[in-house]
Amino acid sequence: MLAQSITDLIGNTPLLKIPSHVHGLKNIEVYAKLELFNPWGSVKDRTAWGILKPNLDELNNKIVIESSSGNTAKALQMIANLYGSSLKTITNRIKVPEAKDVLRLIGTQIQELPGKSDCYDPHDPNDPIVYIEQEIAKDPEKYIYSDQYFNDLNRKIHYDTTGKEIVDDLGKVDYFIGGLGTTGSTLGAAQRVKEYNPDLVTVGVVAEKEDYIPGIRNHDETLEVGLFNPDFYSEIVTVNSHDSLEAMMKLIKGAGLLAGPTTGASFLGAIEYLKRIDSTLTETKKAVFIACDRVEWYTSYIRERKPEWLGESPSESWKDKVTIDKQADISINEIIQWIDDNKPLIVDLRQPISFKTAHIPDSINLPYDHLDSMLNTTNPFCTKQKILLVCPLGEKSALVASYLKNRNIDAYNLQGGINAWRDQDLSLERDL
Amino acid sequence: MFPLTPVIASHIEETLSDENKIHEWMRAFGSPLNLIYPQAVVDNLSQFQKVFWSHKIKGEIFYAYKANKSVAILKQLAVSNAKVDVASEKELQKVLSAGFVGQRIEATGPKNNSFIRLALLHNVVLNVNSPQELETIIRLRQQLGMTSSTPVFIRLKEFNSSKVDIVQKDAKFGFSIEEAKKTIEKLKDSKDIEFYGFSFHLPTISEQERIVAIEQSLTLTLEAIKVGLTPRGINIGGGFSANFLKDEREWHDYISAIKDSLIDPNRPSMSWNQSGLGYWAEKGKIRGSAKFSDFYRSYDQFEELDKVLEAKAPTFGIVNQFLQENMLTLFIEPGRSLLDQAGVTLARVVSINTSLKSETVVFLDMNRSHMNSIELEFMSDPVVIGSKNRASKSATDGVFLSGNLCLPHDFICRRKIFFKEELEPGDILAFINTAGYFMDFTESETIQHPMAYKIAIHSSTWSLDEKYEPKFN
Repeated sequence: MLAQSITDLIGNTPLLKIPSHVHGLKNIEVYAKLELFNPWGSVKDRTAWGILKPNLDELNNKIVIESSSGNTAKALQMIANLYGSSLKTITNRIKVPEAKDVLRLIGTQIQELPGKSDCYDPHDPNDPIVYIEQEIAKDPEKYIYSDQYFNDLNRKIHYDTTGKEIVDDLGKVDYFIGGLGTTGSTLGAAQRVKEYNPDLVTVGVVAEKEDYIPGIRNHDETLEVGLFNPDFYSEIVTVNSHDSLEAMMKLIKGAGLLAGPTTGASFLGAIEYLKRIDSTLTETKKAVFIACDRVEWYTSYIRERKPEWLGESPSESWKDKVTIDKQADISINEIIQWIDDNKPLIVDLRQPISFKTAHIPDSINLPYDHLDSMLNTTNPFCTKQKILLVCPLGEKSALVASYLKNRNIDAYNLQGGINAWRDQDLSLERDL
Repeated sequence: MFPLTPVIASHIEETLSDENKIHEWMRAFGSPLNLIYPQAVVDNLSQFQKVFWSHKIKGEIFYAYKANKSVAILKQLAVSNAKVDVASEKELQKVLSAGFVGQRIEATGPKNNSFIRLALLHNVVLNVNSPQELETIIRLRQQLGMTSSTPVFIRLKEFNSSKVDIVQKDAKFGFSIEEAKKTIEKLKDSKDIEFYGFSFHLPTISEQERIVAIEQSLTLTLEAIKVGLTPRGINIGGGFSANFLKDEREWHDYISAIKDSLIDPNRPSMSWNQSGLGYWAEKGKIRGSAKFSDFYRSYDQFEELDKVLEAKAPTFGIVNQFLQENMLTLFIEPGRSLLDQAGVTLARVVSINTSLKSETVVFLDMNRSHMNSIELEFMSDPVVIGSKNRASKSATDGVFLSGNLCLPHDFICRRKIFFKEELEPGDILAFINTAGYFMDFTESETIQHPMAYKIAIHSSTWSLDEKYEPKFN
């Protein structure tokens, strides 16, 4: 296979038959439309290409503007890059840090929307669409507004390609299940599949309101989506992120599909709906759901919800075995005399920026984070020199001093730390 | 049926359980009547302080007095270790007479000369809104021949971050970054002004925006230290959440019902005259944003402060550690969140009418000025305290609560409220948790209806608000 352009690789994705022990249905064959095979890894590659392809000339001198929190933004940016353009996304929905990192990496300008106001101004429109329109109005010649939530090209590309491919591969399909974000992929593809089988049942999947599933909206949010046509769906199933992740793991472990949380949600929505009718069937039916993207850029999302799956047991630390040694404490009342008598090396454990702003005269800065990792293997002090450790409140320094004392370092702790020092009006120096 | 069941603290439950007492009060003081619980404010204060202690940072709390005019709350806070934030000359006079001394008072908001003068003479901390206001303060100091220096916070209106780009709304209060830098230079050799630190007050509850603002304040604070000033800390204002509702699901269902009713005209209306409470339907799609704040919050105000202190600022690391390391105090100015569960508004049902479009409208003996926080809707259901020996009849639909003004738009709640039973004239409705901004922020004697009485409730007894004697633990 030889591709002339990366965009030639968009679409023509395979269908994967999910083993029956993974979905547990007796009379229904379940197929995943592997949209994660697209070149940038998601179903949105089609959406972005479908919207930008008719406007490629304009990419010479315009930039793309969109409200996208992830995959659409990524695909728009990749296409824009090819044509010397770029993307600005205005959103408050990027909740996955990896997604943000990748977008920044490939050159997307991310602008966040202001949060909901608690000091209410009845004259403030407070509407994301208004912000985008204001931004475009400032310089109408500058932007192409891809408008994925209202743009019919989003639906059309899935009618032209995704739906067609499913019919070509499977013929008659009885059930079609998709997560509802912009609702373009489910609507477009299902319309095409329905032309082949007018009895097609289409099921939309949304998230619970108090929950968050990437790329999928909740009931209220779908009401704001221009492409959303509630009458098209036989049923809209609500799923939560916890169960969606469990379903995702079934696909990963049982079907060999490295699916992400959104695919898990669509799969779960499919099973929830289909299991109710499975036992009433007398002949075999076919169901298709969209496997929209892969798992890799959701690890922090998963860690928040299923930390045990990432199974990080904390490694041993020098701190585990320290007992605080009161002998190491020097009280603030005797500190000046003690420094005069002992001429210690004064080691300040705070961050460099804090140290530069104010510190005890003649001290050096060894930030705690560095020392912390160092102490697991070694320490930077000699046994002949007295050491006075200083931290904000004398807590971390007490820990370090006690540990070092045990290692034959003549280490001491300034009780109360730099705060106590300042409260006594003792002299501080700053470096500019 | 879409109820919004309020959270009711036990001290409020206790009052409401004595129905005879409630009816007696209503006869004696008229409708509406406000109940104030000064001890609840002290409890909230100590919970905020516990958060500061748990993070081992120095924290100072300025009670935003504008949130409620109660004198009882002021008197109780005057004998605690709270400080107070005033926004007008009259507020300043009131807190002085309640027992706060100048060092415990901060003056915020737009200030006229007599407000500034009184603040200067009492050595009140001035939270300065503009470079010009700073000029005025210096000029008035000279007129007064003041020798002691005047403590100030410099309020910021501009927050930049190299890490996050946020669409900025326009802001009318405060100094730009450039102006703040010039001011630091100007103040470094000043004997007149003692620079307390930078302050901000965000009009948003977004965690991310707050962190960006904190980061900006800290950046400028370090610059101030570099030129030789000794700021005490940063003032991050108020805007802490308070949760009003018991059930998250009820909250979500209610909002869905408003939106669904706008899209499908066959559904019963959830807002008076389908006004939508900030939402509207355009070509079958919902647009707009809510004219109410989130009455359900999954975390409380103390957890919110906790989160701020634990948050990681992109450049400076964890906020609490940075404050510790630089020996900075964190000042906050809570209003609503400090008054959580400290007030109830009682109102009597006067009459009930059926509207042209067959909605039930319940007329209360109170008006919009008695429960209005800048047009924000009160999104928690009042508790019904029935008149004696009344028959009970199950309600079949929700109702709208109208006020007693001769204006078509005078509603106490323009959202539909679903009571279990039909209301009757003489019933008393108890709105829970109205102390913060709802009770008296816009109260007026419009069409010569009287202002509401306030009574202060404490352990076993009660008094008129202004006759309250502070309690000592």
